[in-house]
Amino acid sequence: MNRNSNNHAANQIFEHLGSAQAYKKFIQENLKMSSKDILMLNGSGDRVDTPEGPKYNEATCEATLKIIMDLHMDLIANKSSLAKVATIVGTNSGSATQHYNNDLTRDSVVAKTGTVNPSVTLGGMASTQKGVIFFMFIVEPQGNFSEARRVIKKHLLELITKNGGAKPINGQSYSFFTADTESFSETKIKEILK
Amino acid sequence: MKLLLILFICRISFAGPALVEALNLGQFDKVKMLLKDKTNLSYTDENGYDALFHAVSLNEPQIVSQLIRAGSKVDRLYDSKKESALFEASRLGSVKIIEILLKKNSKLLKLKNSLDETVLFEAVRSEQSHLVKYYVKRGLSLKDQNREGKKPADYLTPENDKMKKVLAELGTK
Repeated sequence: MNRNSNNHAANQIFEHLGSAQAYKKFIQENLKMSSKDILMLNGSGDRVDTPEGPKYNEATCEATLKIIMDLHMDLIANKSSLAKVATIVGTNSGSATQHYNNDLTRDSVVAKTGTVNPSVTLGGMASTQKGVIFFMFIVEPQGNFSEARRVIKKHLLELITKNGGAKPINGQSYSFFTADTESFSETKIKEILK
Repeated sequence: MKLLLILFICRISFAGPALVEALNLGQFDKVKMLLKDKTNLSYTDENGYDALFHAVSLNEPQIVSQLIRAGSKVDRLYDSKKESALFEASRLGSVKIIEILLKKNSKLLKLKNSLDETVLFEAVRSEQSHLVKYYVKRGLSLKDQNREGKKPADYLTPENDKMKKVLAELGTK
């Protein structure tokens, strides 16, 4: 789901975990953020029709960055990393590879794209010669999605070149990442079946 | 009868935008359905992009093929730089799409934009070293100059070691 978008699955998980109210509580207690920083109406990112008109989830760049970094640290604590659960550009398939694969991003950028009518986004981390840099881009496409992606690509390349160029991570990712101790990863299943 | 005619006109008018919107929202089943309905493929959005350009920009080779089969023109020029869809495919580094476009019209390869640049310039600018190799192999020259008298290698990003290596192998820089 982090590599190939699945809005339905994302929403099902969001609802299962308690929906908008539970998320609000989670960001307040765990990330010390408020609805001014991030407002999640659903888990899919799709439009929500309200009596006041259509609405979308909203988040600042800073808030999303904080969430990406928090997720990364959590994964590190569990002997994993963002590279294991999201698209490594050029290494894994997925929309980040489809749109942002080139000499400087290949095997050095781990990212997730986002595309809905009001915004085109890319969030993740870049491995550079000067270290790992977390980034989040939110661009309003104003009807021109291609141009929005070009703007993101330009800034991403600037970020990498300003930090001495790319440093490949030689990343490997899980084909399936387990969410709890009671489920098995595909790797584990293959081991059992041997 | 009048109502039917109005409905028919509305269908033609909205089919183009619907196709472009479906493409950009990744609703490819809807795209296929719209193509079956002989959707207006020549529709361009407010930026002058048609469905083919959007499919190339999304890096979707299958959809590009389907659109061409349905009648999309591959020789349309876009933006103020008057570039073909091959330039957009070069930005993305998609050899698959490049081959689909060139199979339909091989003349696109040497078609220059308004800056007098071939797609080889775009391959260097977009950090796609594998395409530099590919285009040179297909007959484009690294000695070509644009309006400013610059060659593709003049647009090398110093931090791109892969590109440096490819250009060195090809006898420049």
